[in-house]
Amino acid sequence: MAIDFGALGPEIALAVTALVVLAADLSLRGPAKQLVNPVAAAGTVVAIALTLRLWGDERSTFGGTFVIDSLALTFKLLFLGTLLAVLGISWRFFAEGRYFQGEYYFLIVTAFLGMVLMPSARDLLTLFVALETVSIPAFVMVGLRKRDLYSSEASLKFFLIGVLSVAIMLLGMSLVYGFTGTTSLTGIAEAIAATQTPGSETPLLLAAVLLIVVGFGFKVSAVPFHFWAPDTYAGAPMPVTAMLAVASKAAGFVGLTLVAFAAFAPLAGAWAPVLGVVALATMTVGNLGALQQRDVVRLLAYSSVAQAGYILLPFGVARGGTDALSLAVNQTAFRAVLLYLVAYAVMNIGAFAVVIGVARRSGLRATADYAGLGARSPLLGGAMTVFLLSLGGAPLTVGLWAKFAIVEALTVDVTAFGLVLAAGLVVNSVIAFFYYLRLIRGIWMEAPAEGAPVPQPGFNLSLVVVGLAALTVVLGVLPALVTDTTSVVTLALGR
Amino acid sequence: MGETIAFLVFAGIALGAAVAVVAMRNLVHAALMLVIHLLAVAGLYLGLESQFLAVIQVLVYAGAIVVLFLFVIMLLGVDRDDLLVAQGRRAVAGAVAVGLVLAGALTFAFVGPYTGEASVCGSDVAPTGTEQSCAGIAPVLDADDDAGVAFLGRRLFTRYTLAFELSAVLLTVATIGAVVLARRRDLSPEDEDLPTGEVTA
Amino acid sequence: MSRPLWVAGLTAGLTFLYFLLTTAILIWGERRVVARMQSRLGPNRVGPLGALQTLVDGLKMFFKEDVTPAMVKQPIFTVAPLVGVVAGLLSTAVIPIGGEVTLGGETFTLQVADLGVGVLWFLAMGSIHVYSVFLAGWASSSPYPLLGGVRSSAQMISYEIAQGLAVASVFIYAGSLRVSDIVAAQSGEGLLPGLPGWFAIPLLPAFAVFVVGMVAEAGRPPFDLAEAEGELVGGFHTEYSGLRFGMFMLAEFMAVVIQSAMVVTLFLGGPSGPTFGLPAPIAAVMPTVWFTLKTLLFIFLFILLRGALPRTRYDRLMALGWKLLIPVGLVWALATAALVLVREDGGLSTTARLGLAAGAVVVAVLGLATGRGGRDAATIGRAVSTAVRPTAPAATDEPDPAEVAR
Repeated sequence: MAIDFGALGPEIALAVTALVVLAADLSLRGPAKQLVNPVAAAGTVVAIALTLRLWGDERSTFGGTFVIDSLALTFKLLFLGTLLAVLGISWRFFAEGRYFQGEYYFLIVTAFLGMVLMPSARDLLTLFVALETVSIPAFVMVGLRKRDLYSSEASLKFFLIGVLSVAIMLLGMSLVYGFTGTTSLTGIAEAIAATQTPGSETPLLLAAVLLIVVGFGFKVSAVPFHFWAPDTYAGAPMPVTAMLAVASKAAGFVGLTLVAFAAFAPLAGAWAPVLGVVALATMTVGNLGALQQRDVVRLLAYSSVAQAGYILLPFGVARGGTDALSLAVNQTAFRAVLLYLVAYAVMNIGAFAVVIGVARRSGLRATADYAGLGARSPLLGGAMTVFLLSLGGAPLTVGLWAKFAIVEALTVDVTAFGLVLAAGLVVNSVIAFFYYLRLIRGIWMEAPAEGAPVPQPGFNLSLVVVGLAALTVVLGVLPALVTDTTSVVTLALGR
Repeated sequence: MGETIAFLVFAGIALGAAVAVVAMRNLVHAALMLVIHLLAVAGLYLGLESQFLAVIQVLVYAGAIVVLFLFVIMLLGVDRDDLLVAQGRRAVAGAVAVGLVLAGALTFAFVGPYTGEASVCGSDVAPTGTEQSCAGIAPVLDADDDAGVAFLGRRLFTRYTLAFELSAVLLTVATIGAVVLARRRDLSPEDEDLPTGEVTA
Repeated sequence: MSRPLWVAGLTAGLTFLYFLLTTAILIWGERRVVARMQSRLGPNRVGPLGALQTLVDGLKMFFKEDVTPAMVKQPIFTVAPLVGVVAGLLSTAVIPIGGEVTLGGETFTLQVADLGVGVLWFLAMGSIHVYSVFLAGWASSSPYPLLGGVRSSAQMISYEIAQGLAVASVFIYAGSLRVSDIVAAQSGEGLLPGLPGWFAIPLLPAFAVFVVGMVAEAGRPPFDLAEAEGELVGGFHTEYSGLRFGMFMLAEFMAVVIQSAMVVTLFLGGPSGPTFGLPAPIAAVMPTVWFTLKTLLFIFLFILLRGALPRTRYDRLMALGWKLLIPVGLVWALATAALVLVREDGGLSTTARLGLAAGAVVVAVLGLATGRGGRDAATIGRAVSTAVRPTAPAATDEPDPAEVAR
């Protein structure tokens, strides 16, 4: 069996980068250690170039367990772009914070290696190992602030809950394997379609599917598996929080998309309503929680729980049939998820970048500290405003189009449940606007506290913040830039 | 017949030991029960004609992992009984209830579809009603009998090469992560002189 | 492979007796040889040259009072020595102690079970043996035994990895895990005509790793840190006496015999050897004779090591295992895989040869340029030299453990 190494290009580039970073960390001393950051960034750029080279290809290798198609490549680009942004906001933070820099960059590159692999995985086993490659570095990275007990607590909580969710998911996967006799996603779908009649599925199989879904529920911090998220986000080093809130969550959604639409599509009648209800609960709990937060990181943590709820909504209307309408519903749902993930990555990393910029040298992260930020630092204040408006879904930002896509997906075929979900989205957006606007009002309308320091974000961070803010607005004005890409991404998983 | 008896014996031991792992109040005893459980599971693998898996189970789980568990337990000196206090009656009752529900659900899910003639691997009986036929083991049964080693090796180095290689990355990450978290000093002395101001332009 | 019950019983009985007897010979031989090395006489009263001394000691051990200290944790205290002996005996099941014999119309190999996973079974039983030492140390509820137990478990697990990697080279080279296949693969001629096809020659590094590993696995001097009389008052078996102490002794000495038998099976062709055209009944016994001779060679090596080398320091022992043996075993497993692959493809092409040569040059230049190679070599040299440097009170004039017990 020949291996298609070309198709593996981005993964190989990232793996090599990780090892080079590790070796560089060994040989560099003192302040020179921070040079591993540009090394990692260079490797990421190479990986992006290799991904772009594959654009438009349809390849598969390793007996079909690894696939290159438009879906995989789009997500790879999303993850690699996120990695670049995270590296940008990490540089100063880790160089000035007395961390183990080399190890951090090694861990973050390997975590992204797992993420880049996930959208290409078409086999439960590969998917599982890739997911673990995302999780295990994250456990360590959360605990990197070793002198801080909160960081240790965050790491421990994250670890225990992550391991528990993995155990549950693995139980589900093994039951599915025992039931269908294959680990291939398409093979599972075929076996299920061949043996099950809609409406009277084997309970064991449904239980197994739900177990897997629960496992991913932990990963994307969906209610009722969200309780680790705020503590973990607040305790972790902030760039790691950004990574967890965006990339790790997106990886969870990729995995959920693959198993839901590729493997368990025939059973959608069973899991879609569950996910719909979970989505409603998730966004409501997230938004209500965010209302009460006085720490910006915790506020963004709850906000990201709510955002996960929005992204879960389209799963709620997925259909199990193979007629044209069902396929169209699933296709639109998937595209909405994809578009929202892209938008979410841009605006949420941006928000975290601003938080890091404000906290640099001063450590300020309470909502009260943001009073008068617009006056002290127009750049950070303005960017934060853009990001928050976009997270809320205001016009002229990419957030609006993302929410619009979700509503569209919910109403392709008008059903009562779809309308309930759409109504939930609208109500929650209003709640969310309340706390986003409260923060924005503080930034512009309140006077800064006596002796509040002027934030010094530094060059890299400013670059990332400006870039992401510009992207938020540009995509908000010209959504076609991204929807042109996402609309060609098809859910052609059944190969 | 002999196979059934072996299964019942090993399954009984495995179940009993598993309950004992949770119930024992002394951590070392619980870990030893875990060893017995793992050995019994290895016996179950033998019953499934997977010698390789059985031996690996003994070698890796019983022989290395639990020994390391015990190692940590003893070095940390947490093998005293008083450290394990049950979390009150309500928690115990809740745990027992959840366990019973789970056991009942699994029994319900398995006993119906997987106890008939049709669920025996390699049988010619067609499944009727809710019965399920054997799936998944067919390629293993077809493979030449080499204690499952050749079959496993071929699978691991063709279809699952990527997952296999990736798990190597995973182990490296876990090792480095453990070292980072366990290192007592946060930074080496020369890093302590790191200027807190602008480092580079 | 179904054989009549009496054949299975006979092979099992013979194997059991064989290893027990060899163990008895080892104990006697060790006392005689070490005595000679220390200008003493050694046991010379019971039987010719004192050969029955072991038997008498065993009897004495059997009838001695078995003291159970009050603070020990039962039932683990009682079970621990049993685990060691049972695991040791079980691991002999896959070792062929002879060739094919025909008896009562049945032709069979003198091997209890030719498992498809053969050698892994041996390793698995070795890892079960760890529990014996470890639990004995813990159940004694006493500091020295606990230290000994913890030490030895870490030591055994570490060296098990090294041994496992060495064995992996054998698997790759032979293409099978089955012991009979491994023995058969060594039966022909070797790389050079006239040399036997023993794996010790093409897999020399793996062989070396295995031999060092087996000394540590058996917990024998200079790697007997689990008992270290000088520091730990005997280590894990301090609190044991009588029959249970005897079982520990039996397990330890039997481990020496089993490890020797295993290295012979894996690397020195097992029971294979010339029969010199002898008539059938004698030719059928010749493999057993060859096997015994080869095994005795390694047993003698164990005895010499014990007589000649002082105990190593614990950190150096671990450094040797992790920083030298495991890397060597790993690299050699990879090299063996490459070797087998090349052999299957029918030799290397010129381009591949050039590529390899260029690669070797690059590695050498890099090694020289960074100076890292030199440093590594120095580290290895230190590790080797410290492995033999005296760090503990000279172990050579310690009395026999068996004599201490008396």
